[in-house]
Amino acid sequence: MVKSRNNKHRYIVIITFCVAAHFPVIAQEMTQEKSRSDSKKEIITLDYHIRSRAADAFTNDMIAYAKKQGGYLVSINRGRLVFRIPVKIGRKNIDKKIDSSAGSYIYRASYQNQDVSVRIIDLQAKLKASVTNLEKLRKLSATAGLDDLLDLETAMNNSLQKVDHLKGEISYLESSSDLYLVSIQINSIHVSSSADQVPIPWIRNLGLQGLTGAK
Amino acid sequence: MKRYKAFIYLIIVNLVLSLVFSSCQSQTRIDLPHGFAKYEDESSAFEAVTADAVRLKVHTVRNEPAGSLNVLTNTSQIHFKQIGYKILRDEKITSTSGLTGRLFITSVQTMNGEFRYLAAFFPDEKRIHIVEAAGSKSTFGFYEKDILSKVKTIQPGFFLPGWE
Repeated sequence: MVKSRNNKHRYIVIITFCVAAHFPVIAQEMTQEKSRSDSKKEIITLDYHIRSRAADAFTNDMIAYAKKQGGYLVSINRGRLVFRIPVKIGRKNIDKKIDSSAGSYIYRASYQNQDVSVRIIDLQAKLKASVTNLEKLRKLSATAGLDDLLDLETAMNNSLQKVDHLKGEISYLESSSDLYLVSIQINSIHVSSSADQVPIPWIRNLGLQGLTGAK
Repeated sequence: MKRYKAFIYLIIVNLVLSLVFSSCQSQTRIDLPHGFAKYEDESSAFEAVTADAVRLKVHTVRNEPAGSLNVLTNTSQIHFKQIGYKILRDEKITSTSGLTGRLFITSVQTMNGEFRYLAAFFPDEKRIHIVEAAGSKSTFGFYEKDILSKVKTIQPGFFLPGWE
């Protein structure tokens, strides 16, 4: 009886020990997971097709809105406006803003997320290696003879360019993930419905695009 | 003598066949509405335009995938919604020759202002006969009534699309 109770105690001690031994590992994994989700970087593209009775007024209104929210106009080309607007504004607020402009309505909207966190980590690793390489070259140049100096200078220049390029790309990806890429196509006649929802090809061809400027 | 007779028969058959085929129009067409000038080219579509750029096109496509008028109507409604056209009229239409079809008149904003787009289609067993017309809102209104009456005069072409 006493022996069996001792055995039970032994099992409890062993199990407690195992759990305690694994606790730091579990805690570490949880922290890593949290930091991974914290450092998750995404480029979010919002693509809108709209019809507007007053395209010019809509364009001016959107430029003012983007500026007010801390964003900016990237380009205007053939009725397509491209903006950068801070992510903190929220997608729904942008939807609402576009739809509430006088005489305008959204008839098609799509959203795309591109996860760039892995790409950033990759670039950061490359940057670290390039910086180390640059440091090595600098140290070498201090002790190098006149003959090697020219080669070293070329190598250092290349390395410096690489570091700058990597820094630029990282900074672009990081800043891009703070801003939505908002594309708005206004009053396009070159649009067709999707084959998923309109499976009859000749119906997808109905519209102005088949008539205007045909001859 | 026999050879001579056979030659005569051959000529007669040839004449009859060419008469039959020449009486069968290749283009699906409608009576030309007032103010329109027809393109007289070899195109398989019947096309016309007015001086103020209202355009008209009549053509035939294969009914593929084959759909009933009801299915085609519903699909067209989805299509117009997806491309941002507002449907102003959506109604049944019957041609003078007895073909039953569907008529849509829509409104669409373009960079050149508001446009009207008309589409009428008449399915038969293997083909769909389509009439399309479009122009800016201000000019289309002038021709609309006449176009609508002429849509009903649709006469299907003889050939299936791809035969000619």
